Amino acid sequence: MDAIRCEHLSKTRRGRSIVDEVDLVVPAGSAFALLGPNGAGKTTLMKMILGLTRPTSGQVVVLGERVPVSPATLACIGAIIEEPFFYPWMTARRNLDVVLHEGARARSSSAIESALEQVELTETGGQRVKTFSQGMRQRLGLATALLRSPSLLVLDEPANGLDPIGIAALRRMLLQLREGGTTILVSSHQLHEIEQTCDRIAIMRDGRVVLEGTPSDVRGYSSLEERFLATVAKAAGSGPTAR
Amino acid sequence: MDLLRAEIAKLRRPLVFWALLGLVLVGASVGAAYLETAKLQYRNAIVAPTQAIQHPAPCKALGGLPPGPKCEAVRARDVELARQFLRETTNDSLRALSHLEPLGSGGFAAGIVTSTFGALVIMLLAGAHIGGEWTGHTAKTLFVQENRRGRVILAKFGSLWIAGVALLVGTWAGMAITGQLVARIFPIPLHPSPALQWAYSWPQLARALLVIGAFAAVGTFSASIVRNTLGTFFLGFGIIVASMVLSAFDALFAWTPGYWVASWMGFERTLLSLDHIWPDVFGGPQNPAVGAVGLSLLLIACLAASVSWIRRVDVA
Repeated sequence: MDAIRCEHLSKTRRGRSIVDEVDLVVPAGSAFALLGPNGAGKTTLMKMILGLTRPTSGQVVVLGERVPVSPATLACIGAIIEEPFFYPWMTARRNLDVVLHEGARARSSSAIESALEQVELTETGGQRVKTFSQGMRQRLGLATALLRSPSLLVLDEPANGLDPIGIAALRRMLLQLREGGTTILVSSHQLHEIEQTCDRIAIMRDGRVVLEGTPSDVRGYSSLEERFLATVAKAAGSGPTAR
Repeated sequence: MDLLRAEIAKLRRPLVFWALLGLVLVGASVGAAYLETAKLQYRNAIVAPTQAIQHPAPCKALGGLPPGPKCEAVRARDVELARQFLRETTNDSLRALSHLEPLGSGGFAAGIVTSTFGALVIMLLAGAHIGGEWTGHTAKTLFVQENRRGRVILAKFGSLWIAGVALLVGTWAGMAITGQLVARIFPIPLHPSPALQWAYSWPQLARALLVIGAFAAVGTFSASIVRNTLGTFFLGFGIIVASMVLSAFDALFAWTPGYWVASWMGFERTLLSLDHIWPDVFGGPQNPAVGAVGLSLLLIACLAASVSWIRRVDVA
């Protein structure tokens, strides 16, 4: 079963094409990386997958349901889109509690402690978010995404603002989740991390998916960084499943 | 209910406390300033006619009439006029004085919250509570958790209305306390009975619930259209101010929220009164039924437009 299926997905804003005829399949249980330079359309694509942005044409099917999905399916999705933001006057725990009650299926408060533990914020969970560093906010964003023990995780640049220790912890966490069967769709500029955590990669450029395959397929005989730079610098013409 | 609970939790923020404090300070200032007027009204309405009844003017004060049946007839007529005046004005005077009593100050608080300052505060809250989801970039998290956007907007409206009612109760409590402090410094000449205070207060409190709902709906509508904190405040308060201005036109007044609020709340035809700050410049008679229907339709129309609009927009 496919966790995510995008069919001829396009988004045009003020006459400018942001996402252009994207066909993408994220198999269930896989860790799928979306790579691309800034402005390639990764975030808009993720927003359409999550139902935050309406496609101009095409459709998205997530966990077997066309977007917008039902509340029950939505409860199986965790996400961070761009930099995570919180209510600064509340504590981290209170923020998670609010997120928990915003959803269709509120879970027990033990979910909050479990999510905080996963991102190593248990001790600072009682502090107001306005006192948090960017890295702590990013980890709290991850806790928000993990709150409902999701079967699909959509993470837009989750390593932003994390220090090397945080990045290593994120890598461990993603590998652990992948082993547990969680489907992960992640966009990142940390190519080395992507190589270690993801089993499929798609590279976007100017709103299109120009290259897709396993990490070894994509990089070929060069490094992923070299392949990425070469791909985004010129029009795609060759490669494993070049489009 | 979970969604509403989450929205109410978000309102537990310092801004709400400052809004309440602002309302109480405005109410206390207007109340203290009005105390002298209330006392003067009391003297004119009760003390002067009572003296005229108990001690009718002597004949020589009545145009130099000689004592006799003609003078007595004039004195009797004056006493009767004073009695009639007293009957008519006692209730008004007691009502004015009851504003300063704990139970009566509920009507006072209702007037403050449903007039200009209340509208201003509710639009500020709408800006922070609803528009702020976009300014603070938390809308994405919110709509990822709950994609039924209509429910989210209705929960936002519901929590804003509850916040408005909490402000009303808080302002009432604040006015009850400050009223007692004012009364200690400047003694009130007469204490209306609790029954009289309540009889004045509760209809105003009950009517205020609809007006707060209409203000909250206008705030929700503004936030849905503009989707930022300041824009929501300016558009929402702008709608209220524009409706006040439009209510001055004879051809339009019956269709303006300004007229509906004044009619429903029974605001007196003065710009600044003890229990409200609301221009009342329209030419037609007040009609509470028209006010109630108009405010209800405004509330429904604003919510329907908000839900419809927010379902279509992209969450940036």
